[in-house]
Amino acid sequence: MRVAGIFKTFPLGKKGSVRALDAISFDMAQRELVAVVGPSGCGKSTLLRIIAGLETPDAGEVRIGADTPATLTARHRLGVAFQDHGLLPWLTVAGNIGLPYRLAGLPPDPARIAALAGMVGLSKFLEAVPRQLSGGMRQRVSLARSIALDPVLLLLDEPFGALDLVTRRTLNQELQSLWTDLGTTTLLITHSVEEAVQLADRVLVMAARPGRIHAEFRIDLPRPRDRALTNSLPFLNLVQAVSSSLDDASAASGEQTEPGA
Amino acid sequence: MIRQAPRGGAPLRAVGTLLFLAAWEAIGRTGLWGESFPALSTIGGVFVNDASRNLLLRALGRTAESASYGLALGAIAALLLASASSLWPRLRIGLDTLATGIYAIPTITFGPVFILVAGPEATPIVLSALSAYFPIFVALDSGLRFAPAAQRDLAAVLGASRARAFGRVDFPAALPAFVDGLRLAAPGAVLGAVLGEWFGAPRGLGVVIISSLQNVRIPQLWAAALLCVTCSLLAYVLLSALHRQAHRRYAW
Amino acid sequence: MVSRAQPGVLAGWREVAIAPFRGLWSLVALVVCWDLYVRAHGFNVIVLPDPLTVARALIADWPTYMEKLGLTMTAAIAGLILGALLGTIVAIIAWSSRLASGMVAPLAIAVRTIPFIVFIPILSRLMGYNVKMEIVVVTMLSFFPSFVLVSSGLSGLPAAASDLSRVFGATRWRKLVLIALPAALPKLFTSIRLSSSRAVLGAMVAEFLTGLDGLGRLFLLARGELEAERALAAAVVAAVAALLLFHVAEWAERRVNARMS
Repeated sequence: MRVAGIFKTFPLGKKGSVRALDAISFDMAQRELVAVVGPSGCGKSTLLRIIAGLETPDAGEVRIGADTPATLTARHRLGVAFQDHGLLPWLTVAGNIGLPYRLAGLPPDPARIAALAGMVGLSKFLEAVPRQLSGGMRQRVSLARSIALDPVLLLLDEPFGALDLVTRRTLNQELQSLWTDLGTTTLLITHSVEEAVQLADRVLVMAARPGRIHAEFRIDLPRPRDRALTNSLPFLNLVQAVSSSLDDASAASGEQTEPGA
Repeated sequence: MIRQAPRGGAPLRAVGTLLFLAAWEAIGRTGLWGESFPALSTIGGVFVNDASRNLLLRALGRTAESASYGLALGAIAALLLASASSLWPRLRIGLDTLATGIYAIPTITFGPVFILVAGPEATPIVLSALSAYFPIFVALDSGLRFAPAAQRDLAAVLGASRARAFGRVDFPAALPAFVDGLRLAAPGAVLGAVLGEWFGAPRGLGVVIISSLQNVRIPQLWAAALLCVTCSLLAYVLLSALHRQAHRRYAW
Repeated sequence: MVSRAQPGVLAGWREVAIAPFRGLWSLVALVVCWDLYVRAHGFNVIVLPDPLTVARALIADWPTYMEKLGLTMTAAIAGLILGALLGTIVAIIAWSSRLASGMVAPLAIAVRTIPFIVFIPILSRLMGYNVKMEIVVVTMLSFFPSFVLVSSGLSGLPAAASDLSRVFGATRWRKLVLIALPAALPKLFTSIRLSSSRAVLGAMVAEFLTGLDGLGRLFLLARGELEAERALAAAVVAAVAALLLFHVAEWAERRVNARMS
């Protein structure tokens, strides 16, 4: 996947405009999991929405193999999970996981849905409705739903952002094999450095105003990255390095707004 | 109730309104829907004749008067009962049921009762008050209930009595809600007055509607019905302006 | 993790049966006031009957009242359902066309301000004095609230749900059927509850003004003051029936809300 020279500017009332993204470019190899961390307001969610085809950039382009975001969604091969899980309250867990099939006009496959529920540890809850589930369980459903159509590209926007720290750690421990086994090219947006280092092959650090890529870290730690590894010195050193880079990025973030019409 | 960004914009709406009026005129002129659907110009023509204009305007005055009295009466009743349910929370369940009952039971059902108790002259006012009561009570009740907790706590800490806290904190905070209730109640008050007139009041737009129907004076029938709509719209617009004022002064 | 169990149908029915009577003291107080008022003024039965006389009139001619009630309620409920269906259909049309959706806001104000009941005499002129006219009256009354509320439900879809259908490449039709319509269902039921008393009002006014058979026609007797107790008995029957219809609608609304959110 290639993201080339993305610019995006948002109008800001009548006073001017704010440049949300400034010349963002990066490539992703197949099967690679890239995490993006950055201070709040650095435009990382906007970047993800552009890659998902939910917003159009002012300049630049996104290519996923031969596809653009639009052609990829038209082929129903894009997977997304948001912080706001967006589960439909009137559907069961099975119904929610199978929703992408129905939205795409494909016949849902009960065996596949059951397998997906199993992958996120919800085999026993197929017939439950979202209101009966905890926040962590709802995010599991959302993740299972995002991979239902066997996507070419998976976009995760703070999938655990609304969860408490303990639940978040448990989910990351439990689900990390999901990403490696799946082998789907994945872009993860997060504000947790620890989460980024634990899951990703590569971490991009963004700075804000305008949103731009500040630094890049390759994470060559062995997998699986279990509790022992996350307590090991190399892991903690990497977390330390990314964190201080993030601090630099925050310090480098300007307050500029551009005068506009 | 509903706040939606107008996607079409003002020009589109103006064009829509004009198209609607033009279609009405055309249908009336061509007699497409028969004699009972006159053109707008024919209905407007009713007001050219002095006698029918005076008749209609006198009737409008009468109905507007009944509706105003009804609105005032409904507002006073709502004010008293909502205050009572705020001061003595035990009363609330019953007063809620009463309000729901008054909403859920069609106003016309009270007609036979009040035509006997209050007589044909006063029935329009009473039905109008009954129609107006519910929206005002509900708006006031929720306004009183959601007075800012911090203010109320402050009053309690300062040792204000329940009654004093009500007068100084709860009630002023609920004023915008009260005016909002008035605004929503106004069209109902007009309708209540017309319903009451149908039960045998001597004058009013409702009476003109019935007599025009019986004497097959179709343009006059339409003119009277449209005057009811105008009256209702006007009351709503005026009270909306008042609502904006109240909101600016008392809103948190 | 599994939150409270769904209330059973039985509990639901208990709610319907008991809810109307919980705060009944205020209504009982009204009846007592009525009785005292009659006694205090020493009215004779012809001027204002006391509650007992009305009850006797009601029991004496019970089958007749039930027959008239059946006529009135059939028209009211038929019109209520027709209006809700029509409102939903037009709301869908408005949702799918930009031009038509411009109509929603002005109509929302019309719903609040226009006393549609005053057009009943005109409708009776246009359509003749028959049951069809009565049903059309009620349909018209319940159409507007349903249209406005369902429209707001369709366009007020949560952003997450909207994004979802785009990411999975859903057509507008699938988005409507799978997400938007179910999400708007609670609003439809709210509109039915709000219209329920207007529906009975419309049916009875139509009967009262045109002499169509039903409870409304019995009200003509009150004007003659000769058989006031029959008019009052009809009023009591109508009031109880309208209250029941309102509470059934409220119960259905609660059930739908519990299921859909």
